[in-house]
Amino acid sequence: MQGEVYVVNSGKGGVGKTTATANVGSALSLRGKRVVLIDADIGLRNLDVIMGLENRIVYDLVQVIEGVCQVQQAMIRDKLTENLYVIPAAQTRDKSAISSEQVKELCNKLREDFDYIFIDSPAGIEQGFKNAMEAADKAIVVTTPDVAAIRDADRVIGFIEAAGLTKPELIINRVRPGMVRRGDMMTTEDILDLLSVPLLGIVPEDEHIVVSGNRGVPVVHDNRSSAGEAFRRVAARIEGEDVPMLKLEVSYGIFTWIKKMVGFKRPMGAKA
Amino acid sequence: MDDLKEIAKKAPSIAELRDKVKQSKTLDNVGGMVKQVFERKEASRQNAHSRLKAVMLQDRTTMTADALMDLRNHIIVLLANFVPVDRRRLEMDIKQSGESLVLTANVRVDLEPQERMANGNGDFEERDWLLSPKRTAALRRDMLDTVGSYMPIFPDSAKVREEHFSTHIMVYTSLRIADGVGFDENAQQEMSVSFRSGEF
Ligand SMILES: Nc1ncnc2c1ncn2[C@@H]1O[C@H](COP(=O)(O)OP(=O)(O)OP(=O)(O)O)[C@@H](O)[C@H]1O
Ligand SMILES: [Mg+2]
Repeated sequence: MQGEVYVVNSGKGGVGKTTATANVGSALSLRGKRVVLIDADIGLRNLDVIMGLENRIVYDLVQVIEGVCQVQQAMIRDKLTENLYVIPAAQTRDKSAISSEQVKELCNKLREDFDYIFIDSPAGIEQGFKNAMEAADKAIVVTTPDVAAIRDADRVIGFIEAAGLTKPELIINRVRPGMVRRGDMMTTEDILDLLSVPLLGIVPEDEHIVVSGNRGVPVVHDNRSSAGEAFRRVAARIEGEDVPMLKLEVSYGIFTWIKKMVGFKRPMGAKA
Repeated sequence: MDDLKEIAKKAPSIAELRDKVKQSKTLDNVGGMVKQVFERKEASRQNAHSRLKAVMLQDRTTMTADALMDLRNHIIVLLANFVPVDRRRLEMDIKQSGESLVLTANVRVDLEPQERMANGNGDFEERDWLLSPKRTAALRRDMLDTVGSYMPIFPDSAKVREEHFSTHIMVYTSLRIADGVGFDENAQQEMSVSFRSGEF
């Protein structure tokens, strides 16, 4: 088995990298893939709480790299899906604790046993990102549809391309269809025109994400969540399926509400 | 007196008056709404898009906005010596392509309807080239000079190409520029500048 290594980045912080990593990883494992998620945001560990695994941490990434433990000892098994593991970041160390060579070596080891390795990297173009980037084959850039996030995404995309990775793919997160319709939020076309990268997914603003964070259960496990559906489609695209983008609709009162309550599950493209 | 009675009869009742006032208010409101819809300010999304376009162009090089505008104007003047250029139809952009930066400036030359007819429906071979080989060489040389005054260029790297379509001609030229304009001071960047055909 030769797994693929993805780095997930954004220029601006707080746009949804960790949310995307947790959900795309979970969705891929729901599809039967073997997946490891590495939290490379040293000092600002987050992925474990989003996944609801914070109580199971024994070792962390820095300890693996320093040889304090075996990589298997640091991998936390997900509580909801099989074949999904998280390697948590060190919370009490700083970014200089690991080098890009070491991250690369670790990923190469993991490739042998997993289909996908996702590195949730810190925002921006600092060392933590460079480490992750050098270990990765492919990159996913997450942005929100606002000027600051897009401008910063552009810088990161420039970096990724200069590093010789394949063209990064874009997830546009927190899209608000009502605002887009009113002309007060840039459209997908506007953003793609500015960034000129392929689109991997469009994820709507969705309250379920906040609830999912509170519970430590990624939103792909919730059939009522439109963001969950969007992330499941991202996973399908990563697997090479040609799935249409989620149609984002402005919600109109009672019908949408009933649909949500019933947990109406839309078919995901041609397949489930 | 009779007259007065008649007038009083014809006059609207209080209730009717109230209705009239209500109606006119509604009309005002409708008018206001229509006005709002039609006189809406430019959508803020367009604002964001055009502002970002400008700021990102600048981000992608180490050049200032003024210098970029200056370069753009120079390119327009330069190209206008060779092909008819509408300055509003020159789109300049700088993008990372592979391991180098690419500056693109799209030039579209629209054809008159009769030129299209003479063209014999998309038979591009028969159309005369806008640029003869000699003119092409001259354009290349001028490009090296002009862009070279803004950034270091690899000698002999300029390329010129024109593409013919049924309604217009696109002019594509490019040249590679030796480092110094990348955003990553660690990476030995090559920057390729191209004036490329494309969509508008
Ligand atoms: N589609 C969405 N709808 C609603 N809330 C969202 C959505 N995506 C992310 N959020 C919220 O935005 C916040 C930031 O998300 P997240 O932690 O994933 O961002 P990040 O890019 O990893 O941040 P950092 O740069 O700090 O690592 C979280 O509180 C999350 O719940
Ligand atoms: Mg994060």
